[in-house]
Amino acid sequence: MLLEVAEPVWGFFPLSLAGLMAFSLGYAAFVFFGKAESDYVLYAAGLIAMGIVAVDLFFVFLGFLWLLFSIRHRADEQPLEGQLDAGTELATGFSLPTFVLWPFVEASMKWKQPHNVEVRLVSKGWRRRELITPTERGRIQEIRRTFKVHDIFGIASISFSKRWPAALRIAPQLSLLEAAIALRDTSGDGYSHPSGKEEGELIEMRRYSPGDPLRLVLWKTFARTRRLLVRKPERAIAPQRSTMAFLVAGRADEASASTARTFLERGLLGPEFTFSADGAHSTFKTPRESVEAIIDSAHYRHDGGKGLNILIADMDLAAPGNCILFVPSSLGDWFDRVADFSRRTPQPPTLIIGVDGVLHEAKATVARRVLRRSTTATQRLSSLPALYDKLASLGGPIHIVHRPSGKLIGPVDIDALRAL
Amino acid sequence: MNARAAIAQEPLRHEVESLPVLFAKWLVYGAAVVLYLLPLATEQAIGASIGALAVGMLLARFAHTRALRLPVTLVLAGLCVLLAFVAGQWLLDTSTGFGSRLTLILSDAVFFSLLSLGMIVALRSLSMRARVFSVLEVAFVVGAVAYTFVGHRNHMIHRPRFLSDWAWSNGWDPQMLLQAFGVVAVLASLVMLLRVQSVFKLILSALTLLLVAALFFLYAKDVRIDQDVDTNGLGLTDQEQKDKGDKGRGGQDGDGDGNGGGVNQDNPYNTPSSAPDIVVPVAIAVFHDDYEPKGGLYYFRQQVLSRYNGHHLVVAGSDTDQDVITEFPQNETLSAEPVQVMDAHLQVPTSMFLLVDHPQPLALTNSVSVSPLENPNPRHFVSAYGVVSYTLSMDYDRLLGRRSIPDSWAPEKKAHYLELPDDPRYKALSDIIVRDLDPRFAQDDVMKAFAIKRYLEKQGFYTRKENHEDAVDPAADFLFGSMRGYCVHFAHAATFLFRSQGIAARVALGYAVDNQYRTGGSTVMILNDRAHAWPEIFIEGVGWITFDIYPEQSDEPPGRIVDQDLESVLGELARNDKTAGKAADPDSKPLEIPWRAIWLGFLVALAAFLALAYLIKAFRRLMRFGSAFKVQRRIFVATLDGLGDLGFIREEGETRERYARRLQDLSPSLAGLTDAHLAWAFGSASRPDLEQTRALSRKVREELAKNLPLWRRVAGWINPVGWWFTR
Repeated sequence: MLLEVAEPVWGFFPLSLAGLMAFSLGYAAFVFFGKAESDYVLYAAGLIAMGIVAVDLFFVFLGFLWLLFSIRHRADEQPLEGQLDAGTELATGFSLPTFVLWPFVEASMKWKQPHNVEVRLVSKGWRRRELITPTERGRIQEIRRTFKVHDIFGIASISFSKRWPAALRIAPQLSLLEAAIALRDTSGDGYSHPSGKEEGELIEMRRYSPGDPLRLVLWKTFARTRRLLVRKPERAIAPQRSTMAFLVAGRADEASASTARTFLERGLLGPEFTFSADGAHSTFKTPRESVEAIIDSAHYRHDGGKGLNILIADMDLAAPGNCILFVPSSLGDWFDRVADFSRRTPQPPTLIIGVDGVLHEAKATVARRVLRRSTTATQRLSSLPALYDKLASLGGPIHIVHRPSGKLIGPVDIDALRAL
Repeated sequence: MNARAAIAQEPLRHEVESLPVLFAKWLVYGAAVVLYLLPLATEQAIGASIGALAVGMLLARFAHTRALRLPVTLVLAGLCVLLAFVAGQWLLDTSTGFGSRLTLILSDAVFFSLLSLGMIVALRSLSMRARVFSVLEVAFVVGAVAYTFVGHRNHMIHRPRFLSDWAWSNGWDPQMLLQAFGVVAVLASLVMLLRVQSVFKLILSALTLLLVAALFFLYAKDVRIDQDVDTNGLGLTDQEQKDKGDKGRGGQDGDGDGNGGGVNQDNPYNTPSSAPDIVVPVAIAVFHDDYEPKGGLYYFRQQVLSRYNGHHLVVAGSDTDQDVITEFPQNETLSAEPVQVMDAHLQVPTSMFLLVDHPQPLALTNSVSVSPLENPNPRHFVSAYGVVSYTLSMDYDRLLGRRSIPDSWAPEKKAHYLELPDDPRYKALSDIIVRDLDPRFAQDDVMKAFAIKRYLEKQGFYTRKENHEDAVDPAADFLFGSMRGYCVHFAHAATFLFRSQGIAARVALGYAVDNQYRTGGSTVMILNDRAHAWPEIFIEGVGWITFDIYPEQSDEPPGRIVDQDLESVLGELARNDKTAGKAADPDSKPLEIPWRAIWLGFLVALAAFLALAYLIKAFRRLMRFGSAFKVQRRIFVATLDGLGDLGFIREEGETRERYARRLQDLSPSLAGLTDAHLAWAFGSASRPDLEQTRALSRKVREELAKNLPLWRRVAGWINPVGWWFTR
């Protein structure tokens, strides 16, 4: 916290820790051995070491001025506008000088605000173009870029920040479709009928007749009753076609947001649905509005689950349809609100969790934990079993979608994770 | 799986040096280890250690990329060092059956290689985790060079001999070479701070550094280091005076105006309790004729203290002690007041060469004139001047019967040289001392002085451990107390006792060089630890004579033997021999660097490099033999080489497809060629045949020719190393 506050000032201190140490050692060699004991080797070495640090500083400072000059006029540019998905790259049009003809000096840049954007600089001619890849959804109204001018030896560096207006809409990344389809099929006895409804889980049976495809045979029923039956679409008297869905915002909710968007845009919530998300003031019936609500929910992570009141106000408690909640993969205050919601509905909602992280990880033995440090860039799934158990206490079905692979994480996988 | 998801599952990339940078670091480390081990280890052990360095560097890199925890790596490195000691000793203690010589070599090799391995793993691991630790690597390398040449410290310009002798005999000053080594060591060690840089940036930075180093060297090569030198706390050097001034205690005491300041007047009793840790030569005296002092000691006087300030003696005003020359001659000879009587003295001309700044000229007692001399070697000497001294030629017994204070002295002058603390004990003690004199000599000043001198020599104990500095009158505290003290106490006590008996006396400060510690010859090297204070008395018809006290009891170790070689080297430099006496012919030309041969060698090497590079370029561009798979691969590589020549290099981590897309505007066909290559590589059934691949390659060349200006294409043809960057 203290470092964060001091950073704008500290950033202008041009010596790195290595530079300070190099200068100190050079000074010590010069004074304590060079001068005090007439050591000509260390006299020259200390002096040249301090000289190099000074020259290095000089070039880095010049580089800092040059960079400042070259980006100054860009502060008044039109705001950066655009619509993109998280995980996709966008050329912003912003560029930095390459410093290719400068000795020692290099420059780098990252986004300080918002922090969930990866920045890549690609050389083109005498400038390095900025390419950004947002990692999370949201709306960006202001960009704060942090620039760092440094030398190749790591001796000197000057960093500073600058703000630009922006109007970026970043939608959550679409999940892989396989998981959603698999999720849809989990409630049936095998495959849904090709001519059946999209919901697919409501079926009728009839006797097998020659010519029926074997994959439609209900083999479990056959095993129990020795009767060959095949499935056919149900003719329901009062089909429940409406689905209510809600995205609960919270820490580590990006994968769940991706899954929610995939459900919406692939029509996996059925032709009629009601959707809402944290931060929204109403429910929505169309995927477009719903996705906008998902994007906005990124700014309400601290109030995860509060929007469930809107959903319950819209819900017909006498004839409830399917209810799906997309919840974050990390426990938080939202859990109590979801539990409260679950108690107030006639039947517990279906909970869907999107997760990232390493799915198949070798068992972390004690030796491994002691000897090696963590190497993965993403979250580990070690906390998932605890979340699963907590959500299971609500009584509803739980489905966990692994976003990177598109696979479903079932109870067996949870037990495997529990053993790690 | 999409790209983002794939990245999410990748382990963190650990920033490690590229292999060329690692190789360069190994070379620098290897050179440093050779320097460290040359005086300690056998050749086999040095070779094994260099090998161990390579292994250690790769191990550290492996441990870093495999995310081994740093403490674990450090513990393993520590165990390796421990193993070095255990295994080395075990081999020595165990009968290996290899014979004693081989066992020794083996033990040495095992010990030093394991030591190097542990050290390099620890250093490299630290450095890879945090860049600040790379500075330790820099220090390790610079330390190796400093350690190799450590012998030259403290103006020991004749050491290390392997460098000094070679340099002097070739007309080079070793100090200049030592400075060059320091600069080169720092430049080479900067490799340790590198991580991943573009070659161009590296070359540009290296050239800038060389320019900075060259400018620095031009400035510093003739610099002489003015070292702080301790002269037994007497404050005889300029630097000591400045230091005391900085502490706010310098300057003249009392109301005397002084002349030239110079000596430690604030409190001469405040001296260190031991001899100086660092012994350095402060001056060289070259006698023009053969001369050996009667008492065995050469007294080089700098200043005299004759005015009592209520605590101790200090420099008197400018109208007193005019027989002492207190200024350096600038353009003309400076003469002292003629108080020394020629008949009683021998005229001794000397040349003085100061190695350390002194506020006033040193001169063999008693100097009568000081004349300017050209400094023969400003890098080593701070000043040079000629001195003519009158040294006492008559025996001391011939002084008997002479009075101390002539009738011609004014009462003020007489009172000045007889002033002493207001303490009746001085007079009482001196009366007791002279009471037992033979009545014939009862009134003889010289005899009285001898009696007092003898008393102090018999009763006094020379030690630095008691300085009586807190006493109101330190001389009294010494004389009427333990009688344990050092030269300042003896000189003051003797002076006050002399004065109490009516003998004009004062304290002289300077250096006393014992002839028995010298090596002979006409050069006397004066070391800082020979700083001394002694009493002088005035004898009518003779002048001021040195009347030093030699205590019979002392806890001081004997003086150090003067290094013959250093004395000789400095003496020869003082005589303006640029080779310091090391070359058979002092006028021989200094060693010349064979620049022409170096340039020729450089050009030949450059030509060989270019020839090899073009050969490889042509070979990669033209070779088309082998299986169909190999041929298509070579066609593809040749196309990439061509792009590399033009500066279009695939970035690290960039896929082939992405690279092709990046160059789509320049060459749309590159994507097709890349797809063709990938189809071949993955064994796709739909891969194009060789003719189609050739056609695509031709198309790429045509597109490049169309889209690029001629100068750029020509630059591409000339570029000999584009293939090096093909990924």
